[in-house]
Amino acid sequence: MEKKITCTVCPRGCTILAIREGEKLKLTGAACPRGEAYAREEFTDPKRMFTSTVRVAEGISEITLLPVKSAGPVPKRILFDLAELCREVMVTETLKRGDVVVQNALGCGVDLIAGANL
Amino acid sequence: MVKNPELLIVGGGSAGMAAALSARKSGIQDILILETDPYLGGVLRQCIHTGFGLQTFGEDLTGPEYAGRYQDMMEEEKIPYLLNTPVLEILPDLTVLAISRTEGYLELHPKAIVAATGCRERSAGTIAIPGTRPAGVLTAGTAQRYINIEGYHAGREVVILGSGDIGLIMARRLTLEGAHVKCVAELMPKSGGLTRNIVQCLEDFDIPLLLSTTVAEIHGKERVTGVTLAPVDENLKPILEKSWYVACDTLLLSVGLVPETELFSAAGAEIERGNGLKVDEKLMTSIPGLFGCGNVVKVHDLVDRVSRQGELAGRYAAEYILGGK
Ligand SMILES: Cc1cc2nc3c(=O)[nH]c(=O)nc-3n(C[C@H](O)[C@H](O)[C@H](O)COP(=O)(O)OP(=O)(O)OC[C@H]3O[C@@H](n4cnc5c(N)ncnc54)[C@H](O)[C@@H]3O)c2cc1C
Ligand code: SF4
Repeated sequence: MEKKITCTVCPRGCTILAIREGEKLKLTGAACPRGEAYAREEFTDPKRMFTSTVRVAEGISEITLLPVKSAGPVPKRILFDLAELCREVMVTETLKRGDVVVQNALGCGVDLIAGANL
Repeated sequence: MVKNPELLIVGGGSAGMAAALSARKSGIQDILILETDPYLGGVLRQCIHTGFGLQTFGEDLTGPEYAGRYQDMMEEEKIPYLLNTPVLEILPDLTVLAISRTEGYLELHPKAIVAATGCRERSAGTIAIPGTRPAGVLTAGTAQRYINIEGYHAGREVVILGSGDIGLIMARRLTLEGAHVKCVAELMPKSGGLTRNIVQCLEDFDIPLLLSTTVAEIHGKERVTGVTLAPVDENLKPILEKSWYVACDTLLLSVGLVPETELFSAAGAEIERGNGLKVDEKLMTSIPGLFGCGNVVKVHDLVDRVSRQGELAGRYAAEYILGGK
């Protein structure tokens, strides 16, 4: 299997070619080791930061939509499921920036946290 | 009663907040920020994606988080501000007229003013696309505000014109919210957006980026029903023989930002050729005592630079006041 990956670690944006040869992954085109590490992960299990909004129950705050983000990168393949989850969540407490909104979201090991004070 | 501040700041976005904090640090006690919106933070509040503050805080923050950090500092320093308070007019002698929801009509006479009103988007009315202007044609930033702050849906079948970062970010957001983004069309042969956004907002979701392509016509009476897309020649003119039709119920325009300078140009402040407020090396406009920072001076890609310029403007305004000029 072969994949062309655009490195997004820095603005230089190297194009890295990843080719699987048996057990080994051959990488060409990365100008630095950070890019190689990125390409390796991108090839096996790409991760992304996830951000969205969740609704706030009436009477809690004048803010009706609370911005949320994943506390760290999550597998790319669950982004749609996380978005679906966020459409169902309703906040019923006065949360502060950084407070956990959903613990261990969809069992991925990463929390969703509040991005603003209510 | 609102008393006359020494320093008045118009706009409570990242530029205005940074200017206020640094003016306080430079010894100005009496500061007041006037802000139209019901919240501080400006455009940051609707930018719920990450990518903010790598330089200022060394962390990858969302827009609201970045704004929140500055708001905390403002609380700590007890810097006064009035929300829901648009500034209506500024006179060349630095008289400021504003209307506040809680305080009523205000006439203030500060010793210096910092202009921090940001920028606005070019809208459907200001760009030359033939056809109608039905509902469903809106700027990407307006859609962003609807979805991220007010919680509306923007559409099901979407075409985006313009591949700057706002257009790209909205392509992803709409896709995750269940809309079908059919394509992003870009007039130029290259996208102006960050590589990271092209990968994470378009490629991740298989959204086609059509370069050297534009919307040649908008169709629909009450609501958009579709657009005609066409490739452009080297003079950026659409090649109509090669055009095609795409059905959609929403067209998002992400075709450029214009500094919000009217308030200050009406007072006589000079405008730079690129449309922003003209400022000298101390960020002072052609009106003595009127300083400018952030997107009203020049459209910035990075909020960190806006904050830095705000800090400088606050310091120079403080020096101006303390110098007794
Ligand atoms: C969609 C989008 C994505 C972005 N993504 C990134 C990113 O990933 N990383 C990054 O670093 N930067 C990003 N930026 C850039 C950065 O966020 C902005 O350049 C910066 O926040 C602008 O700050 P500002 O204070 O100049 O303007 P604004 O935030 O626009 O603030 C101006 C304020 O002035 C107020 N105002 C205007 N007129 C009046 C008046 N007459 N009276 C009273 N108040 C008034 C407005 O209501 C507003 O609150 C992005 C910008 C946008 C739009
Ligand atoms: S490989 Fe290294 S230099 Fe190239 S884009 Fe990635 S981080 Fe930047």
